[in-house]
Amino acid sequence: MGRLIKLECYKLLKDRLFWTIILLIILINSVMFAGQDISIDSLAQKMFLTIVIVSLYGTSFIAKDYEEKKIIYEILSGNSKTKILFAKILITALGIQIQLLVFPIVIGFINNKFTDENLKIFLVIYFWLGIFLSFLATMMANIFKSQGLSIGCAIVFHLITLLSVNSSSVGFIMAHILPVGMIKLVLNNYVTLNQYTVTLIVWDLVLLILALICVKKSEF
Amino acid sequence: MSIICELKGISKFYNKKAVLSNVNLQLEKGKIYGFIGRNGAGKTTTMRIITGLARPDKGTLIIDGISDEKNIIEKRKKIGCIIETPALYLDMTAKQNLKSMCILHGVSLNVISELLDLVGLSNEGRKRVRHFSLGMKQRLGIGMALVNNPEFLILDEPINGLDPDGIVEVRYLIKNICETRKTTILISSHILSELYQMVDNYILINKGEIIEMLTHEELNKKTQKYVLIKSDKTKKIREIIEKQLKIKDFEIVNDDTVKIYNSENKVLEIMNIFASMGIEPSAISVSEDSLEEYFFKRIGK
Repeated sequence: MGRLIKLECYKLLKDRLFWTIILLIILINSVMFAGQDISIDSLAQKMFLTIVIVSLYGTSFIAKDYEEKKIIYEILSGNSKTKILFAKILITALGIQIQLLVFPIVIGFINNKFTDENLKIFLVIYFWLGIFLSFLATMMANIFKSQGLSIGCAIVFHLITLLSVNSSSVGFIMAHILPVGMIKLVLNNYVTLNQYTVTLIVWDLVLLILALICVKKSEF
Repeated sequence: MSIICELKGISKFYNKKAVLSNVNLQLEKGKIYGFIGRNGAGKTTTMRIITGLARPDKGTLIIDGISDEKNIIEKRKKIGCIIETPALYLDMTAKQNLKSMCILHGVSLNVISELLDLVGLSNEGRKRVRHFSLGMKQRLGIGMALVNNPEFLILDEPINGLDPDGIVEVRYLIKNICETRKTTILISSHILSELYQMVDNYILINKGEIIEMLTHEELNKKTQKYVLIKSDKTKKIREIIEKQLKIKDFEIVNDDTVKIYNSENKVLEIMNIFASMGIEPSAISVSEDSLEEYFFKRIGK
């Protein structure tokens, strides 16, 4: 499995889109936060676009291996499909974490806010969110095995999240269920960090089980 | 006789429709096998089953003597393949693509320059694969399949879409691999004249069933020789063949060509009779069925 992880790492580092998205995220967020006093609340509220972008990148990173049949090399390298899946999840999670946390960390350093307890909480929240997004990407890619369809479905998922969390009737309930919606609840102390972590781990487990079922039954 | 891969009664169904029915195959080490069949005949499905990309619904797959699923995963390390199109990292260079395969197989990076030389891509430098021609991509695909020095190479239509130069390059490359590395190669192609120049054994498949397996020598014996006569007086020629030569095994093709089978030792007699009847064919020669014609006869087309 070590070789699979090394390969995924090599692919990630050689992927121009990965670096382009990092630059894009820094650029977009710099424009969005230009001239404003950056607080943890404003970071949490305005990072939705970043979340969607990194989620779509993660989905594409995995799905293109299935679509372009590069998975064949991994299968012929003597590794089981489960090991291949775990290596992909691990490195996708790493890539997503880098993209997701690059702006808050840069801002944290620039504004010297690393002493701020809220920023630490914020980073923990986004760490778990990054893990969730990598599982979501893996599940989408394993179900559809095509970049277009997986990305399309990931967009639909995020749209549903956005609409339901902002709904006046079900918004509060949905925010307790959907990971992105929960962030605000944690920052406003409606939900504890532990509850948030447990909810995301449950999500991760469900997505992992679905992805494993798919990959076991999959033909390429 | 050492067998690298064996398929025993393999069947595969898609939506209850049989794509492969009771396929039995034995592939010997160090030989080149040509896999011939029409689109949808089951060639790619067979290759996908061997490589583990698809699972058979019935039957047993044995690779290098191993058939249980856990150990066969390990045995598949000995297989290199291109299925449908070469799977390449388009934003990487040829060298980086090969490096990724070295990382995956835990092979020393020293093999990269040797493989680049073998597939003729050592001068491509920093050019990204996205900008490669189809021939270059095919050759790189073959190079990537060779990184782990496989004992068994599966190539699904490796000369598809190549220009004549590319076809010749790939043909020499495949022959070179088999000769120098003693690799077993299973290759499918619709360009049967090319396969004829490359392979030792033929596997004919139609509608998911193996209809024949034969060696190059067996094919040569089985392809019928015939006397080919070109003339615009085919009606008169037909009468002469039937009444005077008393030959029944002949056919008229395209209104101006007559093929008389199994009569290659009667050419002089035929020419004399034609001369006495005042017929002057525009051409007369002894020829034989091509692999293509043999294949069409076998599938009953």
